[in-house]
Amino acid sequence: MTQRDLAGIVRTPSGDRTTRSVALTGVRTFLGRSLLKLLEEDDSVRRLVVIDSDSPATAGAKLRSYAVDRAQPSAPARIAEILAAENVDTLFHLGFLESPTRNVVWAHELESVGTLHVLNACRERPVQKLVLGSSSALYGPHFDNPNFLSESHPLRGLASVPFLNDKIDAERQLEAYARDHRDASVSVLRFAPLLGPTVDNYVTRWLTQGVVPTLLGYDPLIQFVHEVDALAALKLTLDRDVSGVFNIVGDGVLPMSTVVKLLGQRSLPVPHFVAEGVLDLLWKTGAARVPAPMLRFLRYVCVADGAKAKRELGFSPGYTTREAVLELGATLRLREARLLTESYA
Amino acid sequence: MSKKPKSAADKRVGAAAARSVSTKATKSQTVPPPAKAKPPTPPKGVASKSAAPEAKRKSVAPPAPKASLPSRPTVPAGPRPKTTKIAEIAERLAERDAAEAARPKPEPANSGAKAVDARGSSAREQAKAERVRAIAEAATREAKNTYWGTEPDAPLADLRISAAAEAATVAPPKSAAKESADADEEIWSDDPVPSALVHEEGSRLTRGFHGDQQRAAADFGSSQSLLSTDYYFRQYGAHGLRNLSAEVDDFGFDPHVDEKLRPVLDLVSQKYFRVELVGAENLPAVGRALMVANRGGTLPWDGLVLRSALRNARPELSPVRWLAEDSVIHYPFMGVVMNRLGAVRACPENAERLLSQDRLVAVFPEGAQGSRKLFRDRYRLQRFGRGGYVKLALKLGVPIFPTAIIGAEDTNPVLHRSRLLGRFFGSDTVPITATFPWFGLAGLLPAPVRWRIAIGEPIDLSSYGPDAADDALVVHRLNEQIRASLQALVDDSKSARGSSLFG
Repeated sequence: MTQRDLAGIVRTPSGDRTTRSVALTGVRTFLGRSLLKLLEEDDSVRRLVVIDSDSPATAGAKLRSYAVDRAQPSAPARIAEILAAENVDTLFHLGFLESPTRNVVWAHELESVGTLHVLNACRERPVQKLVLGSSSALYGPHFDNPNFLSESHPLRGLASVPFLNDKIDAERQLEAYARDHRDASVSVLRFAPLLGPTVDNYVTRWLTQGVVPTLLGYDPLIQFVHEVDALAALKLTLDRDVSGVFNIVGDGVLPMSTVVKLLGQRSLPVPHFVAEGVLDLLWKTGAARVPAPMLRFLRYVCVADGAKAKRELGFSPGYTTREAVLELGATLRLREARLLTESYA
Repeated sequence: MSKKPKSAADKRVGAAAARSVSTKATKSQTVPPPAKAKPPTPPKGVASKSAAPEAKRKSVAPPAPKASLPSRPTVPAGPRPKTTKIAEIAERLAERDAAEAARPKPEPANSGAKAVDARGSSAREQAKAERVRAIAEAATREAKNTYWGTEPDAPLADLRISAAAEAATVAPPKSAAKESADADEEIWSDDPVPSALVHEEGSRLTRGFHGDQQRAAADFGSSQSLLSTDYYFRQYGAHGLRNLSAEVDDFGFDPHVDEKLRPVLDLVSQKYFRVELVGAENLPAVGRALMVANRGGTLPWDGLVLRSALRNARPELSPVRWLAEDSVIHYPFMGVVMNRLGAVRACPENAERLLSQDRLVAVFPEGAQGSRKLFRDRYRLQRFGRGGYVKLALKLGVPIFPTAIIGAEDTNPVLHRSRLLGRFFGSDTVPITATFPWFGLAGLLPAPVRWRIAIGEPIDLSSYGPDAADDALVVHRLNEQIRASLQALVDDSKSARGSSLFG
């Protein structure tokens, strides 16, 4: 029996708070590995259970790691077994690719089928809380987007971009799960593109390659969230008794050109009809990081509205979009001067 | 495009560095000879605290006693004890007199007028003290009032100029704020000119540079406000942010771009279109308001001219945000510029968000139908869509201001819309005007028609209540009523404008 105090933090009688057992998938993603380190220091968590094909790079006293290939047909039974054995009450499902891959078959198995198996395991052995790490890019850059997309806006992704569509499929499955399990707290966090000193994804790579290709004549407004704020949002879902979909974004928007300049990069404006052909060729030959349709992110606005997370989750980002960009810029300069060497662990 | 700003910035930084390195070397060449009839402007610049930092630096630099003083043999080196400034100047004049009279021992440097008085042993000393005082008074008077009219004699000129500068700086009793302003100016001027000469009690240099900096920092809050903008541009100009404010609002409005393009837009709207705005006083000074206007013209001049006219008529209003259709807001270059100037993509979510932020919003309910009008249909309102703006006004309780924009529909008289050319260019239709496409892009230049913008009395829908927004019949009826009243306003304004070209 749980009750909420004034701050919205779950307090359970008889010291139940320290007996939380948290399971994670996707510990090799930025959010997974960072959350693991965060919860290792959290006294309210008794046990950390990693359910992933990879073992985490760090290990603490609370950690139990189980090697499970989520795409296998036997995965649901195995995961349910683990959930029961470790008495897991909270599951963070973060096992999604951070950057597009050409191996779309594997990506589909991992994201779409993997989520199906995880949810089936939860159907077999229910958890109290289920959190999915998603992305605001799933709304898709469309010419008829409003300037701020609310959580109720349909996820449209981009046609023929499995990187987005597999995640949309995973969200739909979770929606169905939430409908069937009203007693459980099911929440989805749709993060704006992560930016920060240690995060590494296709957005940060694109912004830090020295010459940033942009589309000639287009300068859409874009939005980021600082990596620390993203982690804080994940922690908030653990601490507070909420459910629903939340956009996790930094305050404010910036034009693309300003972002490039704030980072001290040079922009290379390319006409969009040229850019699509070139990028398509590069993607097919393996020289590009993103497929050609994703160029639309440089053309149309895809900015999420973070008001609901502030209102219901109590999430207040410490960094605005501009500050997140400046933070990345500062990191770049330290890297250039070889004062900073990150190890992604 | 990417190379240009960097090289320009480099040049500027390089120039700045060169200037700071060779300040002294160049000064002796660039500073005009002190004996000129019309000396440069030191006291004026120093006295006016609100002048731009560059102006300040320029104005402080020319007197340049630092450069000219070493040539004067009588000035002693090293820090001086506390003497009053005027006395010091007078003393130096006295020294000069003494040298002229070939007296063996001039007065020691550290004795002021008071010291002379206190000593006062011989008649010679008394006479000299009198003379010193007289010269000092004359110098002060000259510095304060009659300096500009006089023709300073050659050897005294630079000393007098510096005296004048000093008098202007020091003479009025300073408040703390003024002193800090002085300190600010002093720190960032290229050479700490007059203060090298004068060490008055209470003067900033007696407290030392660092104390000053700290005080200035405490007064101004942050280092950003302490350092001049010019310094930032020199130092960090390579980032190329000179032409952009690095902050835009939620919908992409950039105040910096807006300010830069203001003269152009004002020229177009005031001089070229000769826009006349009536009824601007109807708009509320604060709070949300929805302007409902007729849409016209192939190119979206109406929003820009409305913005310019409203800014000139009611500068205290927040910038009007107008909703532009997709074909405008997503058009390369034009869409970006329009967005930075205040246009927002037309959709209910954006309108609602703008209005709930208590902004002034202009909508064109005719939408794309309005911009597709032929010349013969000008100022005939097309259908008003599904009345989304009525629903919003009902829901949020926003007053509606019918706004007739006369002129936009005359700028590019469309005689025909060609589907054939449209298929060729990948758009719906291509407008054929008297000049387009025959003269190429130049054919899209607007005709110099006169504009008249009339803002009508507000229509208050609050009596219907927010629930009426869900009643399709009420919405439709209100939509038609507003359309009718706008059509009447358009007709009135059109006849009030008279001739479209002349007058």
